[in-house]
Amino acid sequence: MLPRRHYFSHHDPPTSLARVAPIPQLLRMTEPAPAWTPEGVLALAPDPSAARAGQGLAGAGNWVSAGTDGRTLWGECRGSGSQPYQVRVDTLEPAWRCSCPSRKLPCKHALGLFLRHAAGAGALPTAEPPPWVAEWIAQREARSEKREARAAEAAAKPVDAAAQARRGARREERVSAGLDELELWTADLVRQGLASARTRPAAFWEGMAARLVDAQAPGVARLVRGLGSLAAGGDGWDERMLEALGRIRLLVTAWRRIDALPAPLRDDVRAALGWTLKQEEVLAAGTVRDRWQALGRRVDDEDRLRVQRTWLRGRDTGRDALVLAFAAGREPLDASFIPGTEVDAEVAFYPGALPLRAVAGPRHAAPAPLASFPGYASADDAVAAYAAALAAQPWIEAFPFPLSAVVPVRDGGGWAVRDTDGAVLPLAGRFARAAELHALAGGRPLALFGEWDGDRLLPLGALAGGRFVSLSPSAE
Amino acid sequence: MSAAADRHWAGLLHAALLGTGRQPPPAAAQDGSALACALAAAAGPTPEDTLLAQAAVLAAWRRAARAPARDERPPAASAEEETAPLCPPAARRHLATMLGGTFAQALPEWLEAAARAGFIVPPELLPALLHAAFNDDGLRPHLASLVGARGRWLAAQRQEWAFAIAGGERESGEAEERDGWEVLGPAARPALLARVRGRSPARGRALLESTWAQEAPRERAALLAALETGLSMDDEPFLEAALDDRRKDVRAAAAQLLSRLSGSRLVARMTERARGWLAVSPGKAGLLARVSGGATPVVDVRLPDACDAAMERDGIVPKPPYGMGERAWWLLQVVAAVPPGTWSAAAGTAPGELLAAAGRGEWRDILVPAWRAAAVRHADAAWAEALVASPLRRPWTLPGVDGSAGALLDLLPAERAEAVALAAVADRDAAEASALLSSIRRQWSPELTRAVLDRIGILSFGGDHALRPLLASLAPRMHPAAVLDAVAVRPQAFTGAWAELLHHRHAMLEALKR
Repeated sequence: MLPRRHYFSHHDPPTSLARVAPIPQLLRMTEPAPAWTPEGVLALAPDPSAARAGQGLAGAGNWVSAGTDGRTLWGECRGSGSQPYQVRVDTLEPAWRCSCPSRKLPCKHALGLFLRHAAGAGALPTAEPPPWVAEWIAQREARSEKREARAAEAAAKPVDAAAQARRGARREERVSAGLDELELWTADLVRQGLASARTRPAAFWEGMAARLVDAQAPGVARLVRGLGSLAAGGDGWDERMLEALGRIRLLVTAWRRIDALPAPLRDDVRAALGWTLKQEEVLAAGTVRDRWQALGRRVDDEDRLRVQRTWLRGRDTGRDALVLAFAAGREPLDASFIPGTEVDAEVAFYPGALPLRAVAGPRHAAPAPLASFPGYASADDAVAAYAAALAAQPWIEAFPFPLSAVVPVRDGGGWAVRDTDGAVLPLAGRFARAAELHALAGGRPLALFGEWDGDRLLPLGALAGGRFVSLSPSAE
Repeated sequence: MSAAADRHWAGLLHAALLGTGRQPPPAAAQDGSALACALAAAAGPTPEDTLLAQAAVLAAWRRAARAPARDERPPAASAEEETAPLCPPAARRHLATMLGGTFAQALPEWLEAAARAGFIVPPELLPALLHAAFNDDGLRPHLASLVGARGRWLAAQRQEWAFAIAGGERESGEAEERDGWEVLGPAARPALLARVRGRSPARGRALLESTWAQEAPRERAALLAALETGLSMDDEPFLEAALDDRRKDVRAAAAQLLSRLSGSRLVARMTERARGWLAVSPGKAGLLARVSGGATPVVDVRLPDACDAAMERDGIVPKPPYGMGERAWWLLQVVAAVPPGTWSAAAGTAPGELLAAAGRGEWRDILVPAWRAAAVRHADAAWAEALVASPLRRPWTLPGVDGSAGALLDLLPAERAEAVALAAVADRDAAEASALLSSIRRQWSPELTRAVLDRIGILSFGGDHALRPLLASLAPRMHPAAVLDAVAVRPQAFTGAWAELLHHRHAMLEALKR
């Protein structure tokens, strides 16, 4: 009934993704360590106070000794203890180790050392690693070899195709049953009316979402949970809710008819329902090499996880890509792409009718600051592209809008951007940096990158006077 | 978006809100259009089914068909091109960090250094900077050149940011000044007046005089206070007349300004009064004088009997602060308006000896605060230096005059102020030395920085631990390079928030070098 693709199912995809994330880069990096910028290093900080403390330690005065062999940095940092802390940083992965008692990763000492290195070439003298550093490098190499060996072993192990097919079929049955229940539930909802649904307690929505998680359809569960917050929303909640119900309905119908759909759309339906692919599988299916420009980034908290969305645009292919990264607790987020830079690299797209989501592949050069990005000449062009995308893949939630020349303007109580023809795109109400954007533009057109949700634009980055300014809603 | 789609969507929404149990979904038009076909294909066996399926079709349809609205307003004026260079990337990062609240104590220093180097602030940080400066006057001095054309453009759009334009280097003509004077609101006019005074005090006064009679009484005091910029004897007749104003705050503002003009009639009247109550003479060369090699000046105090109408007209406040007798309070205010040189000339001695003589008398706690205010008002550096070295036991303050040690030190040339501070570090007790060090508003020289570190015991073992808690508050003034050089010898003592601040200051000053 379905193409034999090795989907795997679990309830908590992000953590396992985070665990495997660094491996492809580590194994496939073809170039020496990338040139780190202070911004890139600060993006690794687990919290703002560590970033601040790290900046305070970036001066040479804090360090008894420091050096680098090109890839690994080390230094002895003065702390409150009698012995200086021994700090080691691997700039390639990146990874760190420090003898201080801090539980933050990376700690302020590692950040300080890294910042010192990022401040400019030659900031740290080149030397032979002292024994305490060499030991760490050796340990890491041994561990990485072991990991490779394990991976090779796993790859060599014959796949129990029959067992996998059984598991796959069982999941499909569960999803079908879950969606049957969802259909009855939504029919009940509209029979009794959305006005009365609005008075339901949070548990009403949460309960249905939880049953869908049990049915191994976490993607739809998220949509149902979204209904709950729409019900609690203000003006226009009814229209938004009917739209959302329409989209859920579309997904249920698509699942019923999945065999009749073209193959790429089948992948989209499965992804929307909550099937995930391993990053290795995505990478193995082929990559696209380009000078990828990182134009915007957003970090959201979802269920004790931080989800980082980085938008890329290929300078030569003109393709958009969305790279997701997940981190639990204080784990640092992936720093492969820093907004405002472009890098010659490969990315691999998840399959679908309109491939957007991608995973980072090997890198071929150090990132360089970007000076311009190609964008839509008018708001009409951008909206037309969005309509075409919806026609191919109707479940798109956020669509990339690089706009080459817009001016921020006041729009009622909020803000909008206006193109040179006078067409306006309203900005999202939660965009909190409109004053900065307005000041940056100075009344003149600038290049803006944002996410379009079909209704409003959430700006994430702007380019004015050849300078990229991140407008990411999370703290820098 | 077609009208048919909108109509059908509205029908669906109505049915969905009420519930299909009560309100069935609307029938789709049968016009053979693509929409009608799609809606017909979506019709299902039950009303709920039809409603949801048609909502699915229309949700996508509507999202795809939504066209941007048009804004036909003419474009607003854009900012002029910048002529000055943007500060370098590292400096931008430092500024953003400080505006975010980290190392914010160093922000004024950054602004000064950036202005000196001729840089402008990146436009995206302007709203945060202007907001910070709106709440903190101390950030404003260098703002006009730092914000550039973009900052002036922004400030012109928000009245509370008008201070960023005030004092701007852009020269405006007299006609423009007059226009501004006539159209600006009450909040912005004092700033405009100060700006005009900065260019031409006479023109500013003429502007104020031209409309003085019509000014609303409650705005007069603020306007009058703006004459502080470029204050001179040319303003005296106008200010003297303002002493007869009907409002008390206007009279007080005029008296405040006149007290600073040594040649004013008000100061002459005050001097006349003060001479009657405070007698200073060289003194007789007695036995003690012969031993010590000079005459000891004699300070004789007689308290005023009453505060008459003429004194009140000159700005004397009759009611004393809690804890002071009213007659002593009148004396304090009168002496505070008299140029202190009057007394040292009468005694024929240096200010220090006169202070020493007064210090032995019972009126010391009245005379020292009065002289402090007077030294600041009349910018008497010799008195300021003597006064800064004589500690205040009862810190009475006069409204409108900053007689603090910091203000006195500001009157001294940089090297004299440093010498006073160095002497205090060398031989005062911890409380006095720390009070003096805390009141230096200028950046320290490398020598003073090293002397203080040495006394605190950063550079050697032992040292004065009583001063240690001060490190955090002194770190913003220390010479960062001197500290970093010095602590290379004893790095283990160089930890904590003050060390981080000094590292930050060092880095930020380096980043602003051109």
